[in-house]
Amino acid sequence: MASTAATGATRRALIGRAGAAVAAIAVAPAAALGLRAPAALAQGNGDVELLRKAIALEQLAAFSTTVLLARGVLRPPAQAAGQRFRGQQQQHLDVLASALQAAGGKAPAAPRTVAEADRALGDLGRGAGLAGVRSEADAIAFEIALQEAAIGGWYEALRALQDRRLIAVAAQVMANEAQQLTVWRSLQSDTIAAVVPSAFEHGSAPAG
Amino acid sequence: MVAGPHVTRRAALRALGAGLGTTSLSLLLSACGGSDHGGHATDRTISGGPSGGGADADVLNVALAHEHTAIAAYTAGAPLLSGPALGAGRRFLAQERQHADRLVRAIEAAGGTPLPPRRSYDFGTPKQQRDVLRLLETIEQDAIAAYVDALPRLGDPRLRATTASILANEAEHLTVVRQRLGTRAVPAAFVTGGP
Repeated sequence: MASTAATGATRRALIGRAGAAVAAIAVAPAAALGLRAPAALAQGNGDVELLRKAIALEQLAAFSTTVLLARGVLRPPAQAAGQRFRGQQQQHLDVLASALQAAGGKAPAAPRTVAEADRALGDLGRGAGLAGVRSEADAIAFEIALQEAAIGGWYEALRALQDRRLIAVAAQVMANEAQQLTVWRSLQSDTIAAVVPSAFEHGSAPAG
Repeated sequence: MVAGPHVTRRAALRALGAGLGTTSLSLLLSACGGSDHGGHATDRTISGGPSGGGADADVLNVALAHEHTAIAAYTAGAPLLSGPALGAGRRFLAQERQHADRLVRAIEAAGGTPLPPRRSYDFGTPKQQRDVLRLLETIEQDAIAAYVDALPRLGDPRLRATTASILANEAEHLTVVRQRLGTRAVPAAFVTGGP
């Protein structure tokens, strides 16, 4: 293991830099961030608009997961995964909202009802919506579609984001969404080709 | 020594396929790389790479070194895997090779020179499936940390998107490896490559 052990310090340095990007946005009080944020976080309106879209999608995912968890259709393994992922969605929201506020943007309104969520889902091409989820299989397929949409959103956003700290945070969130997607897929199928189907995970976004 | 890296790797694969025991494993682990350019994947700094191209090529070469390491690890570890873990290992090896191929093309397109695989990789002497899975977990974490670090440094937006799609796939690999280990598959909301 000599070679692997030798990389430890380097990996710690990389992880430290990655963590700093999140901490810089999440830990500092929003007001304090706001003092220097316009230059640091919002390089043009593009980043602000991308953040708003990301937050809207994350709000939709969080609301949907909350509804599905309460619906009682998930068996224990899926229920436990959903509960853990709901907490992680909230962490994403907290960090993204801090970044948006620091950049002078205003968060979109989160869905408050299934009808509101289903309208937003319709805009994403998810016709059946939350109202159509009646079984565990439905719920897992729903979560998979939602995660693929989120990953596709980050894939597109990463082409356009300008701020380096936001790019780092976006990459970390996208990777987490991919991990959640993998767990949902593994609850749907035991076949590895279905669980990790492609070497390039870009969700529902077209490749390229 | 005379053989190029691909020939060497094929030779190692043939040997692995013959079902050699664990006593041979450490030797085989160190026989599936290519030419020796020194230093482990993550030892190389962005500015210190051999690329003659622009900054993006240098950044991508760091990622490519991790892909070479992952290819070597999945190749060498396969004989100790069985059942679903072996199926996943084979699939992930193929995907790591796709990553490497894509990175090589991107580096060349950016005017750089892709790093070749190392002549050898010292992964120690894993004796059972769990040892290999632990090794693969570390390899995947290293790769993720490198990709997260690389993404903000890339200037070309299309390269950022491609690199992000590879990062996401590595995160998926890590999740499956952890599932096979029976540890928490998705422990953190922000994936940095840390434990």
